[in-house]
Amino acid sequence: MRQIPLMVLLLASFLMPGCKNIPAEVEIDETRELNSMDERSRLHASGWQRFRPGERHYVYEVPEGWLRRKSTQMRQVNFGFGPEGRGEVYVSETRGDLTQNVNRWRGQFGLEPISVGEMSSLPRVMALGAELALVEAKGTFGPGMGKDSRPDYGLLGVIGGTRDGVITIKMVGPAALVEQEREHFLQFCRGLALGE
Amino acid sequence: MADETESKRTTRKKSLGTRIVNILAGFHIACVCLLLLGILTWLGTLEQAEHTLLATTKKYFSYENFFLFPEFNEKTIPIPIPSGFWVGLVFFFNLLLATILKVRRGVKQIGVLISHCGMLLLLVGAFVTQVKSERGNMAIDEGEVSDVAQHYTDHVIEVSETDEGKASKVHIIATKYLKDLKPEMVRLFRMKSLPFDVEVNDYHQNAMPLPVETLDQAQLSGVELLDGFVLDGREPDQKEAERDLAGCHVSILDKDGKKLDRVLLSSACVHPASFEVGERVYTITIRKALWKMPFEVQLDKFTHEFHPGTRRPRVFRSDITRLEEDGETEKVIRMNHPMRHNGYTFFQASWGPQDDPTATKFYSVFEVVKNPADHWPLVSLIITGIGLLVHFVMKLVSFITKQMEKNVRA
Repeated sequence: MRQIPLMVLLLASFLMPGCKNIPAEVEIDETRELNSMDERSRLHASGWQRFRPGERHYVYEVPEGWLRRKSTQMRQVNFGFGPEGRGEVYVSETRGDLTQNVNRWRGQFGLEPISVGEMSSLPRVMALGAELALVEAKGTFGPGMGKDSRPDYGLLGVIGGTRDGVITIKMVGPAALVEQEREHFLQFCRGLALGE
Repeated sequence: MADETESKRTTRKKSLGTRIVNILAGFHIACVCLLLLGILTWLGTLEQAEHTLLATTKKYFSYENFFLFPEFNEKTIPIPIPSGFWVGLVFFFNLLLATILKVRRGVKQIGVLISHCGMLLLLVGAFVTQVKSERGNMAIDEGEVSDVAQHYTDHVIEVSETDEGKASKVHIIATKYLKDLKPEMVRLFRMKSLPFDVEVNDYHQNAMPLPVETLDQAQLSGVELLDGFVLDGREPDQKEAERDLAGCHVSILDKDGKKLDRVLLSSACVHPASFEVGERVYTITIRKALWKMPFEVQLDKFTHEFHPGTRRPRVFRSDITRLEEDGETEKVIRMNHPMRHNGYTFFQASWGPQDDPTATKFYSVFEVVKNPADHWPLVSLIITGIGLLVHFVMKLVSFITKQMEKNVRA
């Protein structure tokens, strides 16, 4: 019978380390040897370089009053603004050439297409580190895809060609709201860049 | 009269103690343990077809669980079964007591004693494996060299001092200080030889850093955004714990507790976060714990072949060169033919890229096991075998001698 308390004690001492509570403060003096993985570490890496290396992304400042919306397959960066978020700004990567895309936008406002020659006369703004064409339109906006037309709408669009296609920065919304946010839009375009 | 009563009490005490020892050293417990170990192995083998080997082994044989509920065809069987570790422990003490107390002494029993010792060694080996062995994996691209394996599940936080753009000393916040952390907990790590401390909060055993673009404004309220990413905490993977990638937020504090910097850490990262304290640059990251090999492995070539028209593997083979201070050795690691060297065993575990049929350059993944009891099962089987052989030969000789004596008498 004398062995039983002894056995219980032994079992308890065996189990005790597992129940040890770690305090809220711990002193650390453990180190490890350097290894081949340490040589591959890069200093001052950005969030994208750390978590999504090699993935295409944009860097930008968010203008005051713009609210984030989830990115989609067609909208890599996506914002809403104004009352009930009726205005929207988004950055897209698409196929086709510049003129085709500009004429598609103009078509959404019932405007006549422009020629390749007329493209060069469009005003230029700084975006993505280059001077890109600025497209403006006003009128009744037909977004297509079965959605209702929206009267008195405005468009500010910046478009530039890349090796793989076209990058567009587009602001669409009630015309007064678009005009009100024009400076924010241009400021956003100036700060927009492709991330490393 | 009093003496008589005392004597009776002592006899009863002794007999009760003896009875307990007899039960503990008894054949019944041995049979139940062996039966349970057989059932656990059978159920575990069935279950690991649906879950990973690592998760199943942990569930069935870890000392962290006293009981488990087996699963069959993805349904939980509501019958608790004691964990293999504890059954093995009971069996060990049962066998030890039986060997000390019950096996009859004498030359005739030497075979039985030897085989008992062999079995005890097997159980001690299992215990040492459970407590002391380390498992991890090493992934190497063809033509590349590695000297480091990473643990399957254990995460650590590494704080590195840098010199001329490279890590010069790595400080470790060990797994034991992290694995009990919950998202709502805060823990301060006083870095003894560094000019700052590290405060960890919002620790998730499994989390993924998400770019802010993937969330809308409503989802961002109350969420901490650092360096364009937010930490998305997820449920730990119950079936494949090795898939869990830990993440947390970290504040870098000076020795007076003033915040110097704040970073998001995730083991789903390629590079560490950098910060400056004074003139020096430091890095911090969370990752699966690394262990350095005493030698380097270079993957020269990876070869894979399937049985014709199937995805059933015929050959997975890695031609490697082991690089050591005293020279180079060419070796082949293939399925069921591991490389054993210097206390480490390298098994062919995986390869890639598996989803690119046009790939011409491959990588190979080795499971690296460091187990001080690696060879003990073999040794114990040899000892047990010798014991049984000795016992059998002695019995045979005794039988033949008796028969001969009988014949002579007749």
